[in-house]
Amino acid sequence: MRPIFKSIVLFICCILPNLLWACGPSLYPDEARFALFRNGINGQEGFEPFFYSEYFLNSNAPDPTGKDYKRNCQEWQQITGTGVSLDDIYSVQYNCAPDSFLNAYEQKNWAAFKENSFTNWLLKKKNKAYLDYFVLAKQMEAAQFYRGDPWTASLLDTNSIALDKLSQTALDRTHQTKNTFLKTRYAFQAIKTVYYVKEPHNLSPYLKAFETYIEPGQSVVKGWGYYFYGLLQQDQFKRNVCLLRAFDLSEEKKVAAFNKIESDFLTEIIQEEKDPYLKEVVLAMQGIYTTGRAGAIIVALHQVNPDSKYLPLLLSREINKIEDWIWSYTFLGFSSLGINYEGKPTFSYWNKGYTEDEAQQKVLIAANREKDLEYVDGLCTLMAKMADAHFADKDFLKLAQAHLYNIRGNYTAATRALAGITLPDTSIYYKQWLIESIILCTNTEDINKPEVQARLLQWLQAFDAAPSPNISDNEGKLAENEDDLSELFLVLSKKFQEKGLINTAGLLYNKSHHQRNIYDGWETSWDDAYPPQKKPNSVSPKMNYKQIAFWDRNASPQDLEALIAFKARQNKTAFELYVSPAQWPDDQVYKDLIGTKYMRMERYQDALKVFQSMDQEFWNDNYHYADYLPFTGISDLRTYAPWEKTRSKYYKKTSKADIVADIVAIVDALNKPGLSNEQKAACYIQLGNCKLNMTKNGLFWMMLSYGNFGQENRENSGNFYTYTFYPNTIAYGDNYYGAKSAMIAYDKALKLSKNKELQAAAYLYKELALILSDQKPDYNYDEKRPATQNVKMLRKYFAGTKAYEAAASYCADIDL
Amino acid sequence: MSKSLILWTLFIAILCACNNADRKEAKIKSVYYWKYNGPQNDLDTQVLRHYGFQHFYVKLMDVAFDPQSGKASPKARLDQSKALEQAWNLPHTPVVFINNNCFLNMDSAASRQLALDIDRYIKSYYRQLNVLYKDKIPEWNTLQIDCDWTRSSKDRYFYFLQELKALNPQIKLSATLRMYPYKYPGQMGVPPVDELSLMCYNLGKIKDFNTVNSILDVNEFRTYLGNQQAYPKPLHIALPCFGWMAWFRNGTYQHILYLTEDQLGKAHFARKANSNKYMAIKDTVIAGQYIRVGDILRSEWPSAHDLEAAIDLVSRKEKNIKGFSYFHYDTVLFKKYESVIKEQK
Repeated sequence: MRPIFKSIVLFICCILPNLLWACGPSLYPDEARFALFRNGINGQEGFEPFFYSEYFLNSNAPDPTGKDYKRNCQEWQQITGTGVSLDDIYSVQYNCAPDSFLNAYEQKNWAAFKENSFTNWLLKKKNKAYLDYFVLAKQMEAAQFYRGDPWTASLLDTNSIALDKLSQTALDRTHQTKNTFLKTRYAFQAIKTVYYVKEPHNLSPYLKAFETYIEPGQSVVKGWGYYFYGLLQQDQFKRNVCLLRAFDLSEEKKVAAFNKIESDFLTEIIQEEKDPYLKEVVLAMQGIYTTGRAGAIIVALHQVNPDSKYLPLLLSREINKIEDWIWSYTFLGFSSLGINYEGKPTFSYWNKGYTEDEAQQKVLIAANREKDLEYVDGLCTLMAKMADAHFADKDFLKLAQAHLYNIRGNYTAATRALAGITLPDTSIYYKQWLIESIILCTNTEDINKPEVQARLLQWLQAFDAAPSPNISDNEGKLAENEDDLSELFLVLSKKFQEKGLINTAGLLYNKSHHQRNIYDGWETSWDDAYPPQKKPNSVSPKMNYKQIAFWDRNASPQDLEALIAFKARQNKTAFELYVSPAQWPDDQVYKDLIGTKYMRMERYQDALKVFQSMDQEFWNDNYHYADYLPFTGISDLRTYAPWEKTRSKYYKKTSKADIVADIVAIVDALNKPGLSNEQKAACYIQLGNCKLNMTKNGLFWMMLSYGNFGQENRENSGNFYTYTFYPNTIAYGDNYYGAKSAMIAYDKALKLSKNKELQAAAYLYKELALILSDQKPDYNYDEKRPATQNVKMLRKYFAGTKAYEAAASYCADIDL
Repeated sequence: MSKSLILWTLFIAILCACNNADRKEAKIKSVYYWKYNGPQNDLDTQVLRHYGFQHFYVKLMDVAFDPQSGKASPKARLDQSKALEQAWNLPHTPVVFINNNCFLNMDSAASRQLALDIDRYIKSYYRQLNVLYKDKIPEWNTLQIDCDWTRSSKDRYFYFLQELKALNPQIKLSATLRMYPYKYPGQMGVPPVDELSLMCYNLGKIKDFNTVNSILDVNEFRTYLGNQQAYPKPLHIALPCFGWMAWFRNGTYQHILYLTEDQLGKAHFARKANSNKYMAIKDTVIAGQYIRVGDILRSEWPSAHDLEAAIDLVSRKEKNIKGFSYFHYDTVLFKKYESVIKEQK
């Protein structure tokens, strides 16, 4: 490896050790998804596993609120009477291990159950038939979950023999008992247990028992029973129909039935089945399976049953898909669409794909956005038709319409949709109403007005305080509904930014803490994410890039001055206090950014003033300055330039102020009257060196930038885990990546000097600038490089100079 | 010596050499049966005969580390013997897959215990098979361990293999060998077993858009063979008889889609010329996924030609090849590779 290239690689490897993951970090499914339409807002909590998600199922926990179990206990309570509590029934049914119950029964020792009203009821002589049933049920449970030695084969499966006997007993008792309730229960136990027998002898009496005693009734065991009854069917069509019924009738077996249904048969069922009830369930199932557009399925479902409980589920899924297709990009930058900030199709270096067909692909991808928006229009029309015809859940429909109009940007229609809704804060729709109201308000009113901000605050606080009735504990930390407030902050931030209110936008942005596909730095302590009262014992650094990332990208020095003033202001409004961070960064942090912005603008005097006004230990004690700002002089290019013999400077501490003072001194020297051309030329060489050192591959890049990533270049706009200079690239990319300003300085030196050594050095520096910049000629390292104009000049006119000799001997990167 | 005598001597010598070549050891042709839930007689003996398979490998169990108990434990097992009802009495080798996390998390004592447990399981399995099939199932004479061991798990894995062999000195112990440890026996070590199955597939990085075919890319395969010496143990060569599509969106890997090229309708996908990449030209739902316009599906189906080239390359380098095996048993996929499987002797 050539020395300069090697040194660059080593340099970059040292810079960001945290970012050198082998494959890059990854995100959880749904983490990069933006959704503000709340799943399950109409109270259909049983559908939680089928909410739209990037996972195959949103959750694998069936019946998250235990609806079926409660229903079963209620059915038992109808037998026992209200003297037996539901909790006691539940406890024996679902919390009591079969061994505990069976041991108590066999040893006639019920001491552990003496407080349980249900066990006491079972132990009464007149209830012996129910106790017998319960003993059998617990025996079945024990046999079903029996686990033998895992290191012994189970081909002979003695447990299956036990299950076979138990299922036969249950079947016998189904026929023997006169008690209708117990008949149903025994028939269920029989069909459930026989399903787990590996090779049952004759299934037909079990199937018959189900058809006779369970199918005509309305017990909770009907839905459960259909699951086992269906799985025991030989006929594929019938099997799938039964599983559909199990899916519809039960909560607890919903996920299991969904997983067992052969989706290929759904179309066949819908073609052959005349029963509208089954058609409805099939359409619902098809809708759940559809990861693309399901608009046509929703239309069909509405035609079959406008009151269908599945309609809100499917409509919610559809809205969430649209949000993912459109808003995930708009607000998070994660998208299937490669479209840049100006709305043009683009690609980022890290996911550059089909390069040869890029032009074709760009066109196709851009078309996706248009089609998505057209689809939103279609869904809006569909919902309007539903509202005109018949739709059971009017409030749901209005909120769904308002949300779609908000996505489309049709705020007049969104306002109209919301107009008819009056909701108390106890309503399950309340949070969704707040979301729509906040989006509408930010888009239709002047958010700079205090009264509007006060209203927004009221709504945001109400949103935070309102319960989430349909969020169960089963949802993980990253579940989509949990981050709605965070997403609302992003919506507000974007709108404030559009209005030019950068500081409010930035504070809201930082308050959001939402993962976006842009480099915001990483949290280095709990202080950055959590208020002090929650933090564990950790050292909090004064400076973290996360605190300033937004302002680095979007703010001017004046905005930052205003931010410092805002921070210090005592009479903040309630809204201003709300958007303020729990713990403000130190002023030094903002000042450093102001100074850095002046450095990018080459306003060195202004930068010096700012840096000199700061705590002079700041750079030594904070962030990575001490690691990446060298002690050697700013005009010293060290091993990059072996022809340079004077090593002028050695800083005593890490200090941007000291560094800039040197640059200012050079600029001042240039402006001094009476300077000879040769002296001026020497100054320009020094200034050029300073500027070259502050480019991406220079030794002092940290004077202009807050990060340096190996594959970073002026074309990429970064991603969530790799730093980029973008969007500062637009204004300063020529200097930072292209070393333009440094080259101009060297050219000035060339024009002024007649000294051959200095001229040779200037050409060498120009060549070095070319090599360190992104303008270097394209060649393979194995090949002979084409000679540049600088090299040609050096060879032709300066081959005898000391600078030339030094470069030829010690600088492998300049091919002389 | 007269010229004619010299010629005759030369002729006889060539003839003898040809005879010797003919008498070289015949290669065993095998197939891997890798399912746990196959229907009755899924492993069809007629199919085995049709393709000339004289032997099969059957996976009996998956073992993984259980963090709760802190022990290796079975995660999945072949509890239904019916799928191989007709085939059990044919020559076969039981296989146990062990997740490498076992050896990363266990000490030597636990590795030895795992050898004891697996030995117990295999013995009980064949005892029960003989109860079911009235003592007609021959005792197994080879046991294969399948494990993606790494340098950090090597010592415990090798110790486990030694202990397993010590428990059954009379049987041949076999193990699978990935291409990386095959290429670097010096660094990775040579497993202490009697023979190895070299898995000539899953060579590339599926998530890398620039990978040609992560299952088998002959150029990539060639780099693994290198110029080194032959592997110091007898080898069985395992070749892929499977494939899938790798799905990319904006160059970012999404999922594997279990699709063949035939399933990609021309109305929805355009094939890039001279490439195994397909671009979606219409939004579509396929294999349960919503594919957007511009998405790329990279077909990762090794061609019959690829298999032939791999056989040729490895045969030229390795002289101690005992046989060739195909992963895995699938009657539909066999048709795609029929010419290779049937012609391979």
